[in-house]
Amino acid sequence: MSSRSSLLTHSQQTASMPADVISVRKVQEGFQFVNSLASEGESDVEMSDDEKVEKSAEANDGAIVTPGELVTDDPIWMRGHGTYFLENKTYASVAGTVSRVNRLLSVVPLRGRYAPETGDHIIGRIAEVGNRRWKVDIGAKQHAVLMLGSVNLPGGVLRRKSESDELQMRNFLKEGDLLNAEVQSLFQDGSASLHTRSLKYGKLRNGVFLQVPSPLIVRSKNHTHNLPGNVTVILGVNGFIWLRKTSELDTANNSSAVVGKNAATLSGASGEFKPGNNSVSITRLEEESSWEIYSDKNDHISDVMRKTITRYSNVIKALAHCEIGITEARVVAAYEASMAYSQIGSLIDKENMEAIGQDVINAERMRGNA
Amino acid sequence: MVLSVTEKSYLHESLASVPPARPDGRKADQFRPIEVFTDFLPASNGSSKVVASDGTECLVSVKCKVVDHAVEEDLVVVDVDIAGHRDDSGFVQGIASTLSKVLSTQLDRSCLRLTKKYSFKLYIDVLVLSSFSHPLTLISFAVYSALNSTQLPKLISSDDDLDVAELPTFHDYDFVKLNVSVPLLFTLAICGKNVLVDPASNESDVANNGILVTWNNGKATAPIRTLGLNEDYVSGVSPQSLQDSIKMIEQVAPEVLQALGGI
Amino acid sequence: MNITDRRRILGPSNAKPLVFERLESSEQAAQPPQEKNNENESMYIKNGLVSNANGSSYLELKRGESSEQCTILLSSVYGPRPSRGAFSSKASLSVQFKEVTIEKIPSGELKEICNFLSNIFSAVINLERYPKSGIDIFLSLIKNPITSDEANLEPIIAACVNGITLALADAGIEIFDTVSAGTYKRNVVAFSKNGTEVVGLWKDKEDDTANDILSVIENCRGNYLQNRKGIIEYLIRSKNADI
Repeated sequence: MSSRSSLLTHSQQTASMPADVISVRKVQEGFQFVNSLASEGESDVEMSDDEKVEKSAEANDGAIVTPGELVTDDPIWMRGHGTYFLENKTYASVAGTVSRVNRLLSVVPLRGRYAPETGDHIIGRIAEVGNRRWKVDIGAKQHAVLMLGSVNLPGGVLRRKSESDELQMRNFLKEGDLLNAEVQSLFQDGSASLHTRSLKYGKLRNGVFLQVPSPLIVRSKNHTHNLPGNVTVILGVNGFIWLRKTSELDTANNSSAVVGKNAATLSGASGEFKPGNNSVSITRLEEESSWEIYSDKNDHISDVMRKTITRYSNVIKALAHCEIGITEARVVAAYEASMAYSQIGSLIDKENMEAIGQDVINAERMRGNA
Repeated sequence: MVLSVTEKSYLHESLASVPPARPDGRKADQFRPIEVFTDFLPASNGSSKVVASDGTECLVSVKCKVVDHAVEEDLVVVDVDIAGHRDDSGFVQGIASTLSKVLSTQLDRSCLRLTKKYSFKLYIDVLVLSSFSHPLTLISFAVYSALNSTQLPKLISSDDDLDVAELPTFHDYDFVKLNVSVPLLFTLAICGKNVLVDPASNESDVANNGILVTWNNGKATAPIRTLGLNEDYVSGVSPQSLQDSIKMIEQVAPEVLQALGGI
Repeated sequence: MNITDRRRILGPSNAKPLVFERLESSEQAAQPPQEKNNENESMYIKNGLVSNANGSSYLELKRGESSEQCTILLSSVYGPRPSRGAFSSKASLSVQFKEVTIEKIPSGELKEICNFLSNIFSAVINLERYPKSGIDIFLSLIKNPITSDEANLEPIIAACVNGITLALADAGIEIFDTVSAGTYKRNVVAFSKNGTEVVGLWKDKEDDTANDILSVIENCRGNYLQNRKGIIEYLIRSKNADI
């Protein structure tokens, strides 16, 4: 299931020692690179160059290719990301899946940094406060830019940004602050420009942050989900995730709240989309745009709520560990599966994480969703 | 990684509440799961790699050399390299100095004794490939596993060579396992009134203070000292917390040793 | 004699003659610290010796009667001064330690001491008050009490804590409390808040006190209270001498 573990062929005397205090998995003879290469039957890919040329046909949509592998020799295809062109043939330059959109051929890498796209709902962390702009770390190649003009300032949106705003930018957002935002546009070099001009965007409070590989987040219409237990999750497309106590705004905004057992019946990218549901009228926005939105104070969060948030955080990590795409329905399903473990701390053990992942997959198979 | 103000206050409140709510749900005395690989470097006498669940990774290699122990005072040399930190930074040099002091004073020299004249000298090289929290606990686990998997050449000449000008000779391929009691170093975070073992990076960032406790021969021993885990939340702690930390190590250390040594 | 002098322009009627202080009085001002030496048998303090630094302290600590067992430490504080580079919302602190005469302490241990001290003073200095700045503390060990080969760092560390506190006070940098350290056997404990909080604990060598940390702390506290008294008395006295 995990692509990483296949690289390390550690078999011989693997044993684990589950203990209350520490779980130690001991592998006597480390990695056996030499051995696994020597044993012919085990090697994964055995393909000589001749075979590749012979194959010559086109790799189909969704096929997995490795760097240097011929994708097509038909010159009519437009070459997108993850490919290169040599002597009228198109080769893959990354390991990933082939994607065909009309005439555009590209390879989507299995791993790699997040590549921003316009409209993505993402979470970022302020890296630098600059001249009329913030530099935001969004886990991409470059830092994204958030212009002073692209945020809601206290006193209403339609207010002109004054010089005094420029001088107190650190009072709004400072280094280390987390915010959720939308990618407004992309620059020539692929870096993103963000905006937070909606009430569902802005500074994040009342919760915890965790990060998963960005390809695991499935793009959908809605990335803010109210989960059972009064917890709201924001699944940033860039793999940054924020779990927080559900606020009044969340309940007002989000119609796709799933409750209890029924949640599991929802398919992957769920949530009914109602136009205008998430947008807030300008007058309302003005009301809300007080200094409140840049507050650095958390609301009171009960111990029970903290425990629920921790459990959600651990099951999301478990899903990521099992390389399962993270959607609202799966998070809820995994949460329910995790209830078998009364100790939240036991969810960090590998075996338990894998068991939860297996549960989620099996449940989906049973319903024929997967 | 810099945390935001609200994240820090959330974490600090959680950790300072009674009982502490750790961000990954661990109990106060629970370590993060680790994976230990041993004996994989063919050119070393002993080696180990320890990987923690947060991706922290530490490699240790043990090599030996035969020296005249009347001439060479130090029989243990420790070198520490931490990726992302300059070798001459206070952080790395402090860790290296602490480790080498502990190991050179607390490892039993008689275990390294070869003959009346010669001893093995151990070169312990520590390489931390990636670390997010204070790496001392992990390094100490790796050193422990490496030393416990160390195989030294088997002596076939006489061990009484004071009067003869004879150099030790060794068996062609037989080895003897190094049998030595290795000290473990634990870092703990003190948060409010709570004491937490093996703090993760986000826990370290909001801890009021850290404390280093060494465990050897079945008891907590020196060095015991406070460690700065961050600059924002660091403050004084009550003497009671210091005693609690030592008590906690007294409870968990035997279990950790069993888990590391067992199998 | 009520004759007014008409040949000269007189000053205002309420003018008073200038009186210069006699030289003797300045000698008197310098004396109290010397008396202190006898009074507080083990500690001699003098602040402000390094004119180049923003604050400094000179500390002589005597153990017992013999002048051999004497630690002399000069601490100087530079800053808060502007720091280059990225923005920081609070001052950054650096501690550097140097043996001025014979170098007997291994460099690794010096680094450990510096880390330990900067940890203590991160908790003590009100760093939030000085954004975008740096505070640098330099310690010069002028006389080392180490006579044998084996390094006995504990009295030095305690002297460092006390010396830095004095130097910070001299520099006028905001600190939350007069932090001071006490030693007992081979342990050093730095206290704040009248001995109820421990800001630093250093125990490097095994001794018979291993298992009872509370009694170690209790024993160090007595020494701490004594040291702190010395520091505070000196600060008050030097303040009075200034006026």
